[in-house]
Amino acid sequence: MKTIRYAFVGACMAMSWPAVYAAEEPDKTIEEVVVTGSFLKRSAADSPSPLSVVTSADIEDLGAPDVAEIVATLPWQSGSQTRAATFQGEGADGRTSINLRNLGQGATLPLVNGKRQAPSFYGPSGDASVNINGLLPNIAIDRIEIVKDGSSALYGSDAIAGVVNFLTKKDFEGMDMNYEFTTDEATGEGSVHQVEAMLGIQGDRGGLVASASFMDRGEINIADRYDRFGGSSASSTGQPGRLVPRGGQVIRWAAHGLNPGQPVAGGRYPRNAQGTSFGQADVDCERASALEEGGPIGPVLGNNVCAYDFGSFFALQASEQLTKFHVTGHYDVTDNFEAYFEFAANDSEFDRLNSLNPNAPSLPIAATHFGAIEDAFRRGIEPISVNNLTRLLGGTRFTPKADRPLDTFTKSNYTDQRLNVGAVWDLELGSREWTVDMSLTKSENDSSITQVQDTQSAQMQLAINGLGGPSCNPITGTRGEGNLAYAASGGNFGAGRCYYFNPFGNSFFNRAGGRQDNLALVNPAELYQWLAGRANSTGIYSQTVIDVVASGELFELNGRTVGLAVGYQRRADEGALVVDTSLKSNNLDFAFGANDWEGRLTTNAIFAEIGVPVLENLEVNLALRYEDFKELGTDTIDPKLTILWQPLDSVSVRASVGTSFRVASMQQLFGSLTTVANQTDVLGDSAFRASITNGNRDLKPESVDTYNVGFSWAPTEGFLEGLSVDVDYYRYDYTDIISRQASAGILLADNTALRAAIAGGQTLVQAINAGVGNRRQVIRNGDGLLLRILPDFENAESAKIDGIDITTSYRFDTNYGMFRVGVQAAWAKTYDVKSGGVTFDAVGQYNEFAPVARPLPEWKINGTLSWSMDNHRAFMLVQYVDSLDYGVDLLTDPRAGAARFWRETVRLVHGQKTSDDFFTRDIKSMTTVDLQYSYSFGENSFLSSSEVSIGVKNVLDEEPPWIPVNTAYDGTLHDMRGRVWFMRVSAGM
Amino acid sequence: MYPLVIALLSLFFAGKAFGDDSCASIDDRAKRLECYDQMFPPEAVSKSASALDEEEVSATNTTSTDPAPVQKPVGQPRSPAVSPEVSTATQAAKSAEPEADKGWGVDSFFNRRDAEVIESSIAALRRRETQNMIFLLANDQVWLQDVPRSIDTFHTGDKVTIKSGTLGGYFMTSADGTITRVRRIK
Repeated sequence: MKTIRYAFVGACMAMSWPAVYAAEEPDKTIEEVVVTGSFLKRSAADSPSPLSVVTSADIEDLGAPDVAEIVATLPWQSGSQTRAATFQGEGADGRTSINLRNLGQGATLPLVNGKRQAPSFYGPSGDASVNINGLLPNIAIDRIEIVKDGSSALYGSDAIAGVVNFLTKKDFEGMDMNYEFTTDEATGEGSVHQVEAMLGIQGDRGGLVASASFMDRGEINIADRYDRFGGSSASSTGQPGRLVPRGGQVIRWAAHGLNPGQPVAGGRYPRNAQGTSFGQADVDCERASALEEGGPIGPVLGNNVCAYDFGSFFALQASEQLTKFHVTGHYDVTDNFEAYFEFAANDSEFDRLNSLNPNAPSLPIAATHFGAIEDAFRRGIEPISVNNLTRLLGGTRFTPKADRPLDTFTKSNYTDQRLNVGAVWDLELGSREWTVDMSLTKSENDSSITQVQDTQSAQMQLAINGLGGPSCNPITGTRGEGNLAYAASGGNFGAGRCYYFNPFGNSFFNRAGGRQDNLALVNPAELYQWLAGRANSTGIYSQTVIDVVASGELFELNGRTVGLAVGYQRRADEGALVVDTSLKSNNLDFAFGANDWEGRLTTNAIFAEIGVPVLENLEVNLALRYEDFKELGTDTIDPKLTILWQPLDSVSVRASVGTSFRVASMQQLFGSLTTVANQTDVLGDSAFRASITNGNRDLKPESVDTYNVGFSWAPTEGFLEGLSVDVDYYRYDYTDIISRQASAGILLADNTALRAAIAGGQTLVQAINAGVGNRRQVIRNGDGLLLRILPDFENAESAKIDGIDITTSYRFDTNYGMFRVGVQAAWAKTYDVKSGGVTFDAVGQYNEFAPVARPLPEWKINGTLSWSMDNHRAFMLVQYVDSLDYGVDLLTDPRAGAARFWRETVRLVHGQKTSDDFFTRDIKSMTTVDLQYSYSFGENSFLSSSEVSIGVKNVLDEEPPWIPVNTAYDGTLHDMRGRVWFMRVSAGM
Repeated sequence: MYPLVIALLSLFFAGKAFGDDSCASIDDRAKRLECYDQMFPPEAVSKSASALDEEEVSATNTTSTDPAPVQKPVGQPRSPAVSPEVSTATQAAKSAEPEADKGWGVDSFFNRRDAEVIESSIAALRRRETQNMIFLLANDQVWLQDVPRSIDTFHTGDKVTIKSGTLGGYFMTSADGTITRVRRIK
């Protein structure tokens, strides 16, 4: 069985096991067989597709505690979520995707030993991707094979940009253990401890390899690096915040004001009775900003906004505890029948704090509100009605509990389980050897998320009108009676029933600037508890896959074998999201709400691949795959033609052409997606409004035409022996890209139509009732007030992408040890996105406003230098990430409004010079240098081998370039930690 | 899903009970090997393959302590007990033969490290980018690097020692202290 299996195994490797060594004919060398990119047996040098391999040795050299850091070093990707950060993770919460060629998080297919995993990480556009950070303990990874070419003809949906196959150690015997400690020099808060171990048992007929790891990562908070990252995580809705006089009122000076009884000139809004300052910022904004670093940071934009920095609640690097387990085994039941299985599981606890979201509805506050009366007094005017642009709570994470009585947080728990069972059956058909590989793979992701970060809308509506509180009857209660009783009782919440919530700064400060001592104006802690919105949701995503692949030899041609593989795959994807009544009732001020959804997609696929050696040194390979999507009533056919020409032993030339596709995600097909954004409506008022998108079963699969031409050169003699050069040119023509319509664009078109109607003499209500504008997607109430927007998922954009990958290395031996130098470079030549009839090039752009591409540097280059002598090893990595253009004029472009606001908040926090550095569209390049040294102690007592490594990442302590976004850097491009030290102790037994 | 996994693990650990591995119960080493030879006849490895580039092989300097001629090694990735070379190799190679009976490992985890020591020299080696090294020893054994390093200073002619690990597997150590985990493929 063994010999037969090894003779054949390469042909079924993509569906089977990793590192295998073919032994067929006397004149062939033993060669490691790559298993990704073809179902036919091939060595790395024979791969007709561009292939990049990351070995376990590379992972050690990188000192990467998780897969995210491995991905971050790959030049072939950009836009991958590799930082477990609040603002840079797109809700990833520690989960990591890989985004080859920047074609999208769901456009690269991850595999484990050739098998699929259920996608569970949904991005803001509904794209689904696999969390590759949770797949395997690092120690279990033998290598990662990356096919940088469309591969749907072989693997089906999602293999648009390529395939990333994680291959585990199967034949390991003994025990290996690692402990790794990483810490950032700047704060020391983001330390990572990782312990992992692997145990392998091999027998005559089978083997078992089990591994486990535990990673504990500390949080680096924005407050920990406020000197660099503070000030830009700012909101125009603070606490205290902004109060906007409602229209139709005359603002008059009060008896103690500048001009008693007179209207304030120009209808301006005073901030003090002397008339020396005007604006909508709360009159106590400056006092609040003086309390502590972060939180309220003072009035900006002509005193119209009391800016609030919520950054202290959020992480640059989030806390996480990740446990992973993996076991794989195989057993020769008979000489020609092998059974195998694999099981993997992980558990991730991802916690982060949260500020409280803004009170998005901007509720009107009556002039009789206790706080409004006091606020008017401080402004020196007669009480008026205002709109509330504040949030329930302000402060920072360091604010005492007495002043910030709510714990606001998000707790996430993600678990994955994956089981694969199968068998390999070796056959002899005549004189030809064939292998049939059959397997069943079941994977499941379960998530549970609990949040306290919002305000309950209905309760806030009552409380802002003096009818809040759990004991208040809003029909019969007396407005604000509770506040007076609370004050009279010296702070007994139960003494009253109906309470005002006071959003003004006077709830905290008295007129003299001290702590408010009039308890009728103070918000009781119990009222906060009653108003706080809590939400829970659980998600389940699962995938069951049946694979059957038969592969083998047909006949001899030109002295080589014509190989054939045929196969069948059935996939059953299921997804379900269950939310609690808090979310279902749409009663959350900011997050609005969400709905349960569930969906199922059944896919049947048949495929074939044939490799024909048309000449002794020229092979043509053709693959064809048909997939049928049962619930959608649609199907796809994808071919791929590859040619491999080996004119010399040291040279191979490859070319490929084919098509690939990605079917829409479960959420895009069957689900529901709610997001919230600040929208400016037809009458100029702006507020946070929910955008809700429901699944669209009519979405077509995205499709791409792929082309690749490349060569490999590896001289086998002379002084160039040890040199390896790989160059590939790639091109993707990407069409029917699935995206979510921009809600701002929908609203803009609606506003334009309504304004035209109003200019024509209609009122807003008349125009709406007459059906003017987009009445299907822009939902308004009877007064014309914007309620929500309903953007669609659609096949809208297309893109043409091309570029060149270069990989070189040279190994040479000297009296001072062995050296290896290497360069990996990715040049993005073109990324032309066509959207809405407009075409733009995304290369070298930050792509903040692009519907498809993420930040895309033109060049990403890695340089490596390895050295080894006796017991010593050293490694150096130099990483270069090219500069970028933010893409729009920051001073004039309306899309840069948020950046202009953050320029002001950064100026308040860090001064003008830093603000000037920040407020530029030029995002500088970044070069980092990592160093590592290892010493092997060899055999030591009961340890068969032992080694200690120490290293420094970013040894020059380079700061990431400033970018005019939240936190002023981008985690898909740069590491914000500065200099990082790490140590690893490893041992084998 | 977990009960199914536990059942599978039990099944695999119980593999010896239903597997056709009666040779493992023979205490006498020579008889046990003979049993294995009968169970896995020589045709199982008749399709020999050269592990190494011809030039590297021709440049090999066999040592006086390992006079075995360089042979075309076979890509036999697992138990050396099935190799016909067991019965034909030199006595030195025989004495260095790793224990065949590892069963499912539990009975052979301990007390085996120093019992199995192979001392030889590297007759030739193969080193390719992104791949594990392959070593042809002067005793005609072929070993595969099991866990690769990005760069290792093994050279043709280096004297090496191969010892089994405390809990299984094998470690190759060169005279200058370079160590790597290896697996015998011939």
